[in-house]
Amino acid sequence: MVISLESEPATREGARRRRNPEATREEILAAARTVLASDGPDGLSLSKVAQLAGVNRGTAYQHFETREDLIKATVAWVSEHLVETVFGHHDKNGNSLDPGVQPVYEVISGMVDFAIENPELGRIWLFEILSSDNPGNDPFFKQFMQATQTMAASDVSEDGIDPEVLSVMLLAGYFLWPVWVRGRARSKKERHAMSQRMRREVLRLLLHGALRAEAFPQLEKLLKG
Amino acid sequence: MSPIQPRQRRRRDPESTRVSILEAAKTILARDGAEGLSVSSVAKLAGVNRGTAYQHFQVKEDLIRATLDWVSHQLLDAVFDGWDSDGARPEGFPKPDLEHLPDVFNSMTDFNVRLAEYAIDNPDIGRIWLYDVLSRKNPKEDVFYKRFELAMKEMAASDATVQDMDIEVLAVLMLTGYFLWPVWVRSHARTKKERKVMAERFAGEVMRLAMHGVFRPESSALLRKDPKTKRAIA
Repeated sequence: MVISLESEPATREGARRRRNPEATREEILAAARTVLASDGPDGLSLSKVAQLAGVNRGTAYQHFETREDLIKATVAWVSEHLVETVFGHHDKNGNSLDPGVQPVYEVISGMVDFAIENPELGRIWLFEILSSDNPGNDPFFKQFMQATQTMAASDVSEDGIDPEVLSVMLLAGYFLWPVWVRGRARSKKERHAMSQRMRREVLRLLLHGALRAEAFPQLEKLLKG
Repeated sequence: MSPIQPRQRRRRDPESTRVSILEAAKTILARDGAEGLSVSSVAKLAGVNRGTAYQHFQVKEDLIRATLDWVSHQLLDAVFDGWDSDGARPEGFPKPDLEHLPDVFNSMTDFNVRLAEYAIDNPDIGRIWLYDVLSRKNPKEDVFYKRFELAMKEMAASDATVQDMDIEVLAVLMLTGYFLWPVWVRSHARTKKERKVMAERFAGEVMRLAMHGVFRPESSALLRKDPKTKRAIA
């Protein structure tokens, strides 16, 4: 693909790019995120992304042959940032914590904040993971699922949790809540208040459920039977 | 009887024409999304002529709105089975309170399974319906959402539930779970039987979560403070 390199403008920008394909790749990916966030996956094309990134089409094709490659790379970006935002907590000595012992409220907050700040990208990630034959290949999903499993097996949790259903249910809730918020919140302050409501309700549900357990002795039997 | 009987029949029964248009629109919407839908493609699939279709729906937006309302009514029929949309309990159905718990429980379990099965049987249109409801200025214009929220409010007001639930958030959380689970099911279940088992698993986990939450009460002291404000949050 020598042609595309030669046809690149002889600006400083171009020279920098030529020396640093990694930076070019990042610029293309950032442009892809912008397009995906405003137009969704249906509105994504390589040439639109190349134009927005200010690189020529040939260069963009060198990095990403198809729009599916771009979507895949974006999903990987979302996953990486989720790992950082949600599971990036460290102990006093600065060592990263095992996903299973991450602080619960911080994990909930990280999820809610990321989803509200990246609504379209979050939904694209969610849909890719739920549709995947092998969602365990995704670094964030893998950690999230492991954290749920570790927690479900530990003695701080209730018995009989279905970690797979619970993980999907919570992820769906986190990433679809912004659709509801967009229809209702007018200001940053209102969005913030609605994030707070989501955090609080998830935490409340995890701690207390919705029904008074002592009122349902016959349910206990069914769950155990 | 005139020789143009079929057309006359249609003219006499606009309701059934409307239904066949809506069913065709539902199919196209599920398959191609809103962008792939046009009044004429729907008319073609429904086997009615374009003019007739335009008599019912002048513009594409009207047709999409009517189709989603139609889905909402089907959902209401499939899931609330005999319940009145204004919230009145069906005859013989007990009040959701402590006194009538066994019956309430049975009806909730059936309800959860029906909703999970409907979502799995109608995955694409179900998700389109969900996005639409979540985006609406007034989601209560949707018959199913309105009824669902009412059922949750009734439950929340009874003496069988814990205090202090945020019903709106909980309703959204539950509905999104029900309508996104089918995406997971499609990529993990191969047979009808496996899909049914996964519907039941979802309904079972909803019930378990509602009853117990996730953390044991004695562990919850660890979790009760907001790390920033140091205020109790649950």
